[in-house]
Amino acid sequence: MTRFYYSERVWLQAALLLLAAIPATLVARELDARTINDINVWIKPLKFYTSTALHLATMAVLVWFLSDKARSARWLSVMAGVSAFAAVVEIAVIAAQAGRGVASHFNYSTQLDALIYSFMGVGVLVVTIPALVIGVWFLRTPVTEKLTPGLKLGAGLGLTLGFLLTLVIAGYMSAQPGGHWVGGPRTDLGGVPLVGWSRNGGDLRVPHFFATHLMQALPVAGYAADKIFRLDAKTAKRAVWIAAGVGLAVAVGTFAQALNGQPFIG
Amino acid sequence: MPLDVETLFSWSGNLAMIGWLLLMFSPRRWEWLLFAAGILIPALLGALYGGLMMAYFAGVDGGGYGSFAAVRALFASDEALLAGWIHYLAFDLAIGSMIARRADASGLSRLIQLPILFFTFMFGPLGFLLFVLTDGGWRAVGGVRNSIKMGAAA
Repeated sequence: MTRFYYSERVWLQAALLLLAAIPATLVARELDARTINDINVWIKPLKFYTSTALHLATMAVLVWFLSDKARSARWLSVMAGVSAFAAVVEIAVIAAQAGRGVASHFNYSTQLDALIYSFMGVGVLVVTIPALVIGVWFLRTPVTEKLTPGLKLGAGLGLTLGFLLTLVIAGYMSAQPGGHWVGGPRTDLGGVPLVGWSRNGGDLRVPHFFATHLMQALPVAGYAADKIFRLDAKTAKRAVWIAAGVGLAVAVGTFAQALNGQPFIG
Repeated sequence: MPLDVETLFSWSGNLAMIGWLLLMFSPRRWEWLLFAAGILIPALLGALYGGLMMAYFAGVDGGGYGSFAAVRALFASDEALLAGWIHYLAFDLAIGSMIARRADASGLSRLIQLPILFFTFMFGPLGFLLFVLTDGGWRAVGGVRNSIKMGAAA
């Protein structure tokens, strides 16, 4: 088994730490009767543990495919350490706000809550900017025996496109004074199972989801093209480009749908 | 001599705080620092706790461990409440140092140890749980063998 370099260690360990918070939070969800937007206060932290852990683990796994020289680079270690720690703090803040029984995002009700919300916006950039940096790195780095052509392009496009689309969509969403709903009732009750998206109106979290998870979908598509379907380099890259086009279309399409006040699943 | 619970409360709190700062921020290459945080300070707190319990435990009316009401009666006494608080301080710190040692052995980054230790400091058993699961997960993904290998190579 290949050894882990610092960036991979710290990202994986931060991901594990976030997942480690799940059991106690599940107990809290059972014990705590308080709600935010009509659903239990602990549901949101549970979703953020999972999605942030997935993001951190994605970074760790993808970096593993780079050259030993890149993996051991000092700047990468520093960037990974800073972003892993920021992720843990960000999620701790979300959990702390849940514990106080107040919303973490879109909360301008007191000076403290508004300060926390704006601080979280900075924090999430620190957490996600490495995706852009490493995405560009993937686009520029040569193909190697380990880093096959489809995976290289998938990781490069997935991270850069995922970051930029998320920046636009989540940036737009967080600037809305009223939250993630468009048109429909301002409640999270009765949403789509697991993800919780509104069934009665637009929900900006839908395009955020599809945009952000391009960071997983396109590398997986590229890996599958290379290793499972065993396509030649040219065809694998073409497949990744098509996947990227579809992903972009889904993100933009669901963004337009949400802006029109339509639910993704009614 | 009347016992000044407020003073003892703040002394013991400061003592524990020194231990936590050592665990969270001091370098691990000096064994005596971990000894101070994990053994010496909890032992000192143990002496204070022991003394308080010997002097006051039996004197609390209706106090004991056997029922919720008995525990409530116990904590209604300032001296027993202080002893109970020092019990938290001593054991949380001892567990914190055990976590630090095991985390070092597993190759958990100091950056990840920091929040784990902070939660152990603030919410004892919750921090312990976070550690057990994080460390277990790290061992499961094979990180431990690798970090030992890295340590051997260094």
